[in-house]
Amino acid sequence: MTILVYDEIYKKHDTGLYHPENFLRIVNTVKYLKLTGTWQKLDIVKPRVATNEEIATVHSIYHREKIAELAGTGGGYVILILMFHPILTMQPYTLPVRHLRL
Amino acid sequence: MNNEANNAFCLIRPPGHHATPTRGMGFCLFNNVAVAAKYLQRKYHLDNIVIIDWDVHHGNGTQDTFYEDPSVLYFSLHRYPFYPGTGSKNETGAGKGVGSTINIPLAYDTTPKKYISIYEAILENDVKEFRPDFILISSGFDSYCLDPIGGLGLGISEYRVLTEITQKIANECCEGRIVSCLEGGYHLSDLPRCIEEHLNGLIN
Repeated sequence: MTILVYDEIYKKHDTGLYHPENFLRIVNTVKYLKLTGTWQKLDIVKPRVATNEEIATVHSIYHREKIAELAGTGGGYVILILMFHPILTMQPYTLPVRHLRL
Repeated sequence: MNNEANNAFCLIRPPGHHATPTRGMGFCLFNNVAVAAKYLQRKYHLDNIVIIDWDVHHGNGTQDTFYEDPSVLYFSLHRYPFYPGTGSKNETGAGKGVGSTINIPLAYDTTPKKYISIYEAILENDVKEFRPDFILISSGFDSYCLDPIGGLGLGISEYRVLTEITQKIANECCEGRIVSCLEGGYHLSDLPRCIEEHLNGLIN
């Protein structure tokens, strides 16, 4: 049996529809898999939230708290990054943080 | 690990492989796969974990996390030069971790045939020799040829081929244990089809 780990909460990370990493990536995938019948072949499992201790095995406490603080105040922007695009050469994207359960 | 399932795919977002221990970048906040690898090491005391990263971008955050760790083999194929700029061939690990990072930078015009043959060769040789107890996949689908911000010439069906090669190695080395986590992939109508091919490979 193959497990598919999924939670509706993944849709709530709101980056805005004009951001490439938006919630439609997940919404469209779920819809499509249900239509084709692949969803029904899988064991759908809802995950638990990672503990602070588990996150701390990789990330600094400062990093975790910084993101929790941003999410707690309704959202914000973590960092301005630059994506290299073959046509547009450099395209700025920001990484918004909203509605994260931390 | 408890034989309750053969393998798993995590349909998650945001992605994680660019997130370093101290900062989020490239749409990533927390490094999902890195946390999973640490969890497996702590909970099940696994000696050797392989992280395969076929996202079109180099997973700099995952590499940073395990750069000096000989118990985690990080293997990435990615478009290069490209965001985030890391992932050259000579980045192979440091200290005790020398040799446990494998970067295969690929030019934009790499054909699917060449991509698959390189992938298979690394898995058949380096990954097998490492004797993994568990395989994690950072499965980005932005090497798909029509991806709006990535693209490396792969077709939809190639994701099934990649999955089957990986499953074969996992069957030989670690009782088929694979957990795959979604990273990138931004073509809104074709991403689901790429994921389905990957799932079909896992289901079989």
